[in-house]
Amino acid sequence: MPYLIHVAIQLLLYVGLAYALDLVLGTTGILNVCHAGFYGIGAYTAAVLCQTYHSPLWFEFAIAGLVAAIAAVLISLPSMRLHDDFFVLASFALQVILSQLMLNWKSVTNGALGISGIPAPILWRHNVLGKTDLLLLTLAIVGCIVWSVRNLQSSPFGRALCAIRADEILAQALGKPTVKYKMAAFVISGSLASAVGVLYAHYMTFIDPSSFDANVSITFITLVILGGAGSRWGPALGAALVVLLPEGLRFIDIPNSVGPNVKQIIFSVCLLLVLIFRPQGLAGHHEFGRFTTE
Amino acid sequence: MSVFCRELTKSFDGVTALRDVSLKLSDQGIVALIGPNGAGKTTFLNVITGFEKPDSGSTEIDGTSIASLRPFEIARLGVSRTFQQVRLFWDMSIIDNVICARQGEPVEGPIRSLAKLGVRAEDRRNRRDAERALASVKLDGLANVMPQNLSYGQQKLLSIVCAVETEARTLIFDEPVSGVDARMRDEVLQVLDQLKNYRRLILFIEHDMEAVRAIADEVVVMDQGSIIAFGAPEEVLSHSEVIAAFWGK
Repeated sequence: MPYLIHVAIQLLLYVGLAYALDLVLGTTGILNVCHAGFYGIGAYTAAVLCQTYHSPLWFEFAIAGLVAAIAAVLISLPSMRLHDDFFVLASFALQVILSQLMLNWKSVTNGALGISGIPAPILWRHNVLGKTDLLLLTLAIVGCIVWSVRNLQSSPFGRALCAIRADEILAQALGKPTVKYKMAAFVISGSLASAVGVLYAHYMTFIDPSSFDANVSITFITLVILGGAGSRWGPALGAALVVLLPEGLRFIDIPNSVGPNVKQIIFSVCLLLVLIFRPQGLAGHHEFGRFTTE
Repeated sequence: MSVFCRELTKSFDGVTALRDVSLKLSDQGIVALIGPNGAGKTTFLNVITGFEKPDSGSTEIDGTSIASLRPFEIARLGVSRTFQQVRLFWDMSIIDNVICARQGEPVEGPIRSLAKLGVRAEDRRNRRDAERALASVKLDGLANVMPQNLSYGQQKLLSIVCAVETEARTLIFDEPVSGVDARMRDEVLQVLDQLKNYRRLILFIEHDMEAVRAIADEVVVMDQGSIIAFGAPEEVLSHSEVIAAFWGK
């Protein structure tokens, strides 16, 4: 049972992160390479606030969201006006900066050793102690994230983001403030990812920089594209594939000496097969980056 | 809505596309912009819609200088345009293209969209108006079709509908009937002609002189980056300099 709860929480965290990223990647069509950085901002903010000030969970969400939003604004202000390729570089730069901060700002982050002993979250003056309670809490928060993202995607704002993705020049000619909308999507996405980071810190009770580096960002991009960027169920399917496939491979009897490598190869082959035969992703309608038919 | 350009000059890598272009357009009517290829017509449209910045000179729309404005801000001043190559939101249905053109910032804002503050009612209204607009150009039966499934002429017509549905007072069309068949050409010209009734200024680039004669109230002729004639169609098209520019001496 604890194993199933662990897998369920892990899956929910990935689902939340995938939908948060999809607002930028799938709906707006911007390749954001610093999603794990925002996730890390949430985790470290929660760890520091909870350990130092015993702050309640809602306060951690608020501060983590604010810090992530400020980081998102700072990086998108100079880069969003430029071509999308420059934004990819700028977001990668932010990812590197955040990773270096987590690694080197030792007085706050404890460097490579990470922060351990993060207490259970405080919800209405009570600690959420049991794993089942944490699962329900994660389910509720991730449910809110998915609802918010889906709500935005199907709203006039979402339609404007799709328009920007399809043809930014035409969107401008029709009076859409494209830079402002792209920034808004990026800020919302980053803040939502930070909320998942808060949950992650409390669930794992230990965080270190390796959980929020560039490789993790690339994993998030992979799972959204695998599931189908911009589609209703794509991010959830991608998250399920990335979390559950490696878990399923645990039960295949392979000699320990080659086990991890063989599992990695099987996982990679599965991903390649999906990309070859479903380039638009499992539940997607468009191949990422090829939205127009011009 | 008036458009006033003063001594606009624009060069690309040493090639002068606009040379001291000055032009004042009144607030309504149909103005055709004609000239041989490379005359600077599209560059002129790009400059007055903010997609290109002039090297020198200025443009005022209703007395407001657009020098520091971005294209979307100029669009919000009431200037909407189409492009020479058809531009549509290709992965959105036809009706969504029109709704997207109609919807404005208050309802598009992320906070209002998330909280659904008055969004549904406005979205319903925009959908109803978009359906009406599509019906007026006989595209209502294709509302949920993707734009790439339309004929080239229908795509041009849809792009015009999108520009019109922004409710801009000045509409700029870059070659609205080039490459379309005769029947569709007549339909597009009829749509443009009907826009006269809504007291709008329509500026369009066209090579089809029959189309120009059919609907234009005034004609502006450009050649080698300069305006060489401006006036009523019959008068301008019989001008010796215009004939020389188009058909040689």
